Amino acid sequence: MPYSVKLEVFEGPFDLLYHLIEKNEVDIYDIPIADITRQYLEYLDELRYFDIEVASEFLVMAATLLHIKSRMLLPGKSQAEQEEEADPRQQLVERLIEYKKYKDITGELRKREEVCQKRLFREPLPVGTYVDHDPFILDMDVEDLCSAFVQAMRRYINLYNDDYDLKKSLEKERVSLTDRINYIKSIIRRSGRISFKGLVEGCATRENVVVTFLALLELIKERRIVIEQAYNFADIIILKRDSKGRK
Amino acid sequence: MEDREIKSIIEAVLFAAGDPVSLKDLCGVLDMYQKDVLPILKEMKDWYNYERRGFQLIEAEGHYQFSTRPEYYEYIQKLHSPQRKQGLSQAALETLAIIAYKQPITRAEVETIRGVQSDTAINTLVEKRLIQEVGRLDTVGRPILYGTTIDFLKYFGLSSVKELPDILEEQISYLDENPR
Repeated sequence: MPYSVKLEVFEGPFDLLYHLIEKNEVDIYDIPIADITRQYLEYLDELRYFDIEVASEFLVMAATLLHIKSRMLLPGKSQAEQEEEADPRQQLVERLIEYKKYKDITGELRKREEVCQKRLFREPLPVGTYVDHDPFILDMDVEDLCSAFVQAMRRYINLYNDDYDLKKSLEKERVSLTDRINYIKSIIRRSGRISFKGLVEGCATRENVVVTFLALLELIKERRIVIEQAYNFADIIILKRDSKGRK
Repeated sequence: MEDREIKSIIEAVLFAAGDPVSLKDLCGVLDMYQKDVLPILKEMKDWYNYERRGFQLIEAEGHYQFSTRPEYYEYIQKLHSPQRKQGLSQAALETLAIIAYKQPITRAEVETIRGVQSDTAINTLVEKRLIQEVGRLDTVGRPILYGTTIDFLKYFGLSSVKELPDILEEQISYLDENPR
């Protein structure tokens, strides 16, 4: 019959190392490295005995400990040389102390967590939509934006065909994506919103419409704007996204 | 407007909102300046605490909200047995502590301190909206910088990150001074 053994669980090599230092009641600035290394390796052996996979970080630490131990064992250095050379344990100790600072604070945070979980909040009352928001709020995705784009293009092509000959002779207006992004950003910054139709209608060329569309996609990707549409085929409203990530 | 009336309006608005309401919005509702509303909010908060009312006014980064007082949780439980949320795992809590004190910080920096991979812990914390991306470090790979959120403050009952408990180094200095 298999039997289970309660093994202490450590969050990482530093956690385990600190536990050993505390258990042995030794000075952290003067770790008896041979002793601690042995105990550290014993723990890893124990894990292996119970068929628990040992995370690679624990093995890296084991190697570090052995390395320090061997460096401390190396004889033959002159007094002056020894003084010049930093204690091989120093870096390890510094990291250990840094880790311990945060580990200690978790106890305090845990206490606060427990208390705060006993606070209950109410759900918002169904008194209607927040005035901050407009009545036509409906989250949209990129597909909705695409269909609006197609619509806008159709509208544009119709326009284009009416005076085809006239437009053909005009010099193409070159608008870079960056320019367009900055333009949309400045509008959003100033007025907080703009309609997609309004943006596209201001475009003189097909290229410009495409660039505008790309600019919007980019801004959505960068989470600078959100788009809303009241119902299918309605005009799309482009809104500034606030720091909290919502409208 | 009398203070009493202002307080009642704030109570009504916060009660209806449920969600945290920003100081800015409260001022808009009252048509008052922040400097005039702030002391009133402070007074309300202290008063509820002093009277040990069933609810309390909590604040996180300039957002206000009502919650029940933790002491009365057991009574609410008698009627409702609300689902107790499971606390954070030790790994997540450790990671969160490092991010809270060292923000903005990259995942790699967190991992250096903890000595273990922390991507799972960080993902959990992002999912729980306790931390968020606050920018990118201007270096190779432009790694994400993480910082804590308003939800983080609420989660631990803090009104700002400045209220985080001081890091105690007593234990370490104790060992330092008393080598055995």
